[in-house]
Amino acid sequence: MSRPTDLVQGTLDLLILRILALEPMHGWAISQRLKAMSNDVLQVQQGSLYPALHKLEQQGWIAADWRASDNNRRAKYYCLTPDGCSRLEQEEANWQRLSTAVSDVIRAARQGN
Amino acid sequence: MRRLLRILALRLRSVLRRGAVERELREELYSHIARQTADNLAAGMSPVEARRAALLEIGPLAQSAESCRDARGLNALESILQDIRYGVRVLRKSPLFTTVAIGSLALGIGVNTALFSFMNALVLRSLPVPDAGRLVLLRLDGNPVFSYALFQEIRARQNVFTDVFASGGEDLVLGTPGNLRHVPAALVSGSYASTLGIVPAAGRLISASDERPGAEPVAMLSYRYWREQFGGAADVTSRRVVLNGVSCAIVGVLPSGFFGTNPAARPAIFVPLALEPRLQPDFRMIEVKGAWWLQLMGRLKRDVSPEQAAANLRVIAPAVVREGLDPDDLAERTKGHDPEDLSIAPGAAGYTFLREQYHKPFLLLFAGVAILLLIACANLAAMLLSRGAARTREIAVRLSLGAGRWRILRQLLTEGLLLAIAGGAVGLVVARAAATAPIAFLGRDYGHVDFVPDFRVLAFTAACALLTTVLFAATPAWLAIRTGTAENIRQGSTAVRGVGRNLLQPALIVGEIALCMVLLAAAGLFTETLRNLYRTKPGFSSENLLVLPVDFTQERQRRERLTAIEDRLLERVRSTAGVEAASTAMVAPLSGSAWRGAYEPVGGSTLSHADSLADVNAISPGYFATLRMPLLAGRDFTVTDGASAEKVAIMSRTAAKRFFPQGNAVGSFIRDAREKWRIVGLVGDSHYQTLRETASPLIYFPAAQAQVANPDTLLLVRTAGDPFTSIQGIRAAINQLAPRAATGDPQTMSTIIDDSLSTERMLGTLSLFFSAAAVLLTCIGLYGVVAYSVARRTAEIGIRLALGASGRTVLRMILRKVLLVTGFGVTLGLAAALALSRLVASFLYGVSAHDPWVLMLALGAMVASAICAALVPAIRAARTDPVQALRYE
Repeated sequence: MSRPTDLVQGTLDLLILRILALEPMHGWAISQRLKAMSNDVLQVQQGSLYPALHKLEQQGWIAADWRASDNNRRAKYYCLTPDGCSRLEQEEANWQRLSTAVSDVIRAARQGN
Repeated sequence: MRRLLRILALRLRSVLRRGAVERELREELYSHIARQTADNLAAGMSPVEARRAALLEIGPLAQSAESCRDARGLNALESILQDIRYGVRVLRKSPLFTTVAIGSLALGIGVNTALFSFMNALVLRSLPVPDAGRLVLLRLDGNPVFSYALFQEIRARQNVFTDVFASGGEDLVLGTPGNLRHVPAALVSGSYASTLGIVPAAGRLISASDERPGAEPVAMLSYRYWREQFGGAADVTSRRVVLNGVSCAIVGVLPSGFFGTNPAARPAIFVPLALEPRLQPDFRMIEVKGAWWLQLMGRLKRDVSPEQAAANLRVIAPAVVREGLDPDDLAERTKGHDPEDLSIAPGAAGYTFLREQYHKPFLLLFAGVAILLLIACANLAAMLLSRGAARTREIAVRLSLGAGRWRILRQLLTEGLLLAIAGGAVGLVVARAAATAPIAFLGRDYGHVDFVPDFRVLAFTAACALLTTVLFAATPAWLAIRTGTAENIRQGSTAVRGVGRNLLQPALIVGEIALCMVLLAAAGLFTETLRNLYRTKPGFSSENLLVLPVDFTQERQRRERLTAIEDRLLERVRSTAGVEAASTAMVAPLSGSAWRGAYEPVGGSTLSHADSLADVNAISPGYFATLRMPLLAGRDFTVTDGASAEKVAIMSRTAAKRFFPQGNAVGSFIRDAREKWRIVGLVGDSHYQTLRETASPLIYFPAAQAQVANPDTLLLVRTAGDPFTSIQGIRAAINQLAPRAATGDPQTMSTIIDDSLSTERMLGTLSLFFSAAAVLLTCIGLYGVVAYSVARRTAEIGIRLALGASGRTVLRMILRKVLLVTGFGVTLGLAAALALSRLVASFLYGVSAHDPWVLMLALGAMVASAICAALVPAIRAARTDPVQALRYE
C-alpha cells in the first residue's frame, strides 16, 4: 500500500479525521478542504486519499453512506463515528507531543550551536 | 464493541457483496474525476484539458482502485479465491493424478480417523451427564472392580465426593414362562442417578428410598428400550416388568442419550442393587465379600481437587480394606500386592474393560495407520516432485513475469491443501465404514459402541489433512520456486534439475519401502501367530459343537430336581435328529469364563498355594464323549454320581502329575477346606482359558455334586452336520421339559474360539490389510517415479538405442536403479523391523519376532512388488522407437 511521501506517516489519517470532525463530506471535498485549510501547502496525492479513506472506514473510525450532493449527483459521504471522535483526540494529542518534541529539538539544537 | 461490529459488517460486505463494493469504488473514483474536471473547467481549462488534468492528478486509476481494494482487504481474499479456482483447474486437468492422490489420502486419513473415532467412543467422549469432568472412577490395586461390602465401606468413610455410586452389569431374564428372554440390565445403587445428576425423561429415577429393607421392587428403563418396547407410552410408570421372576414396578425412564457408564454396553433396564438377592437368590452377590463385580464412581465435591480426593482415599484405604475384605482374601491379596492401593482415575468417559484389554493392540494399530498415512504422504510428495519438475517451465515463466515467490508458493500449497481437504472428506466416509471393523473382531457383545463422528473426530481429521499438506506439499513447493527462472525457460523441460530434487525423490521412495517392510514384517508375524494358534490342538474337537446357555433359575427347583430335569433334558436332546452327543458344563472351554480352586492331595506332600490352584469345571456325564476327549484311565461320571453319593472327581493329565507325581491319581483323594473327593478318572489335557497357555491342571466335578447349585448352565451338543440345523429340536425339547428355562444365544465352539482370539485376529487381519494398502501405495509411487524418469530420459534412451543398445540393456539399466532404491529401502526397513520387534513380542505365539522366514517372505514380497511396479514403464522404455525419441522435444 502506498503512503503519502510528503506527509509524515499517519498524519494523513489525522488530517482526514480532523476535517471530517467539521462535517460529513465526500472525498473530493476533503481534498479541496485540505488544500484550502493549509493554504495550498498540503496537497494530498489523490491516489493516497481514497486508500486512506477506505482503510479508516475498514477500521471503523469513519463511516460512509451515499447521498445526493450539491449538484444532485450521488456521492459517497464520509463522517466520523463515535469511536473515530476519541481516536481523533488521541491522534491529536500524539501529534501535539510529536510536533512539540520536534520543535524542542530544533530549538535546543539551534541554541547549542 | 460497536466498532468491532461495524468492522465485521464491512468485512462481510466485502466478501458477500463483492460486486456492489467494486461498483461503489468505481463510482466514487469517477465522481472525483468529474468534480475535478468541473473545477478545472471553471478555472478556465478546455474540456479535454480539464479532464486530462483531473486524471493526471488522481494518478493511474487502476492503481488507485487497487490500493483501495488493498485497504478494504479485498485483495487478500480475492487472491485466495483465485488460488483455489486455479488449483481446482490444475487438478482437474490431471484427473489420474488427482484421483490417486485423493484416494491414497482418503485411505490414510480414513483409517486414522476410524481408529480415532473408536478410541474417542471408548476413551474420550464424555458421558452425557452434567459436569462429567468431576466424575472419577475408583480403583483398588489398579483394578476398577469392587465388592458390595467395599462399596459400603468407601461410601461411609469418604468425605471428598458428593456421593459414590456402584453399578454392575447383569443379564436378567425378562418376562413370564413361555415368553422368557434375556435382557441386558444394570444393577445400580440408590446414589446412582443423583450422583450422575441425570433427570428422568418420565416418572422418577431409582433413589436411596428404593434400597430400604422391604422396599417395593422397582425398575427404570433406558430411553431407547422405552421407545422400542413400550412405544414411548406415557403410562409406562403404571406398568410392571417381571425380571428373574420378580415383578418390578416401572418407576421411570432415563434421559434420552444416556446409556449408563459403560460406553460399550447398552443396558435396557436398571434395577436397584438392593434387589440383587431377590433376583439371584442362588448367588446373593451383595452379601458375599468375595464377589467382585461392581464399578464404583464418585463425583468430586466442588472445592475438592482430584489430588485431595486421592489423598483422602489413601487415608481411608486401610480401614476400608480391613472391614470390606474377607480375612482370607486380605491375606492372599497381600502377597505381592498392596491391598490398600485405593486410587482414582478420570471418570468423565465412564468405564469399559475394553480399554485395558485393547490398550496395547490399539497402540500397535495406531502405529500401523500412522505409518500408512506417512507412506501416503511420501508417495504424494514424490509425485508432486515429478509434477513440480514438469511444471518448472510454467513456474519459471510466472516468476519472470513478476509473480512473487510467496504468491507461487501459496498457489502450490493451496493445491496441496485442496487435495488434503478432498482426501479428508472422502476419508471421513472411509472412516465411517472402517470404524466398525475392530468391533467385528471383538464379538457381538460390543456392537453398541457409538461411532457417530463428533467435533473431536472432525478436528482430528482436519488436523490430519493439514499435517499431510505440510508433509507432502511444502517441500516440493519450496523446491519448485527455488530452482532458477531464466535458466529454466532457456533450457526447457529437459533442464538439469536441482541436486536436492534428484536425491529427494529416491529418498522418499526408500523411506516408503522401509515403512512398507516394517508393516509387512508385522503382518507376517501376526499372521503366523494366528496360524499357530489355530493349529494348536485345544485337546478336544471343536467341529460341529454347539454351546447353548440354558438358565433354569426360574424353574426354582431344588438341586436334586434340577439334576433330574437336566438328565431327562440331555436324554431328549441326545435323541434329537442330527445330535450325536450332548452334555452340560458350567464353563465352556476358551469362552473366557473361568473357575479356579485350591485343592490338596490327601496323604500326599503339601503343595504351595500357587501349586494347589487348579482350573475347575462342573460337568454332566458324557462331557468327554461330547467333546471327544480321551479318557486315559478310570471312568467317566455317571448318573449315579448324585448329590448323595460319594463325592468324585476326574483329573486332567497335568493335574494328576501335579497332585500325584507317583502316578497313582485314580483311586486317590483330593480335598479343600471343607470336602474331599475320590479321583475316579483321568482325561487328556485341554486348553481351558486361552489357546496360548500351556495345559494347566484341570479338575472336573459332577454338576450334580457341585457345592453351589448352579441353575445357569451350558448345554454342549455335538451334531453330525451343521449345528444350527438341530437348534429347533433342542429348543423344543427344553420348552417341553422346562418351560421356565430361558435359553440364550447359541454359539458354535468355532465362534467361541474365534472370539477368544479376537486380539490376534484383529491384529492379523488389520495388519495384513494395512501392509497390502501400503504396498499398493508404494507401488503406485514407484511406478509414477519410474515412468516420469523414463519420460524425462526419452531422448537419452533414444540415443542409446540408436547407437546399438538393445532393449534388454535399457531394461536392465532402469531396473538396476529400481533395485538399488529397493535394496536401500528393504535394508533400512529390516533394520527398523528388528529394532521395533520388542514392541510386538508379547503378542506373538509360536514365532520369534526375528523369525528369518517371516522376514525373508516380507522382503521377497516387497522386492517382487517393487519390480512389478517398475516393469511396466521400464518395458515401455525398452520398446522406445529411437527415431520417435530423438524427434521428441
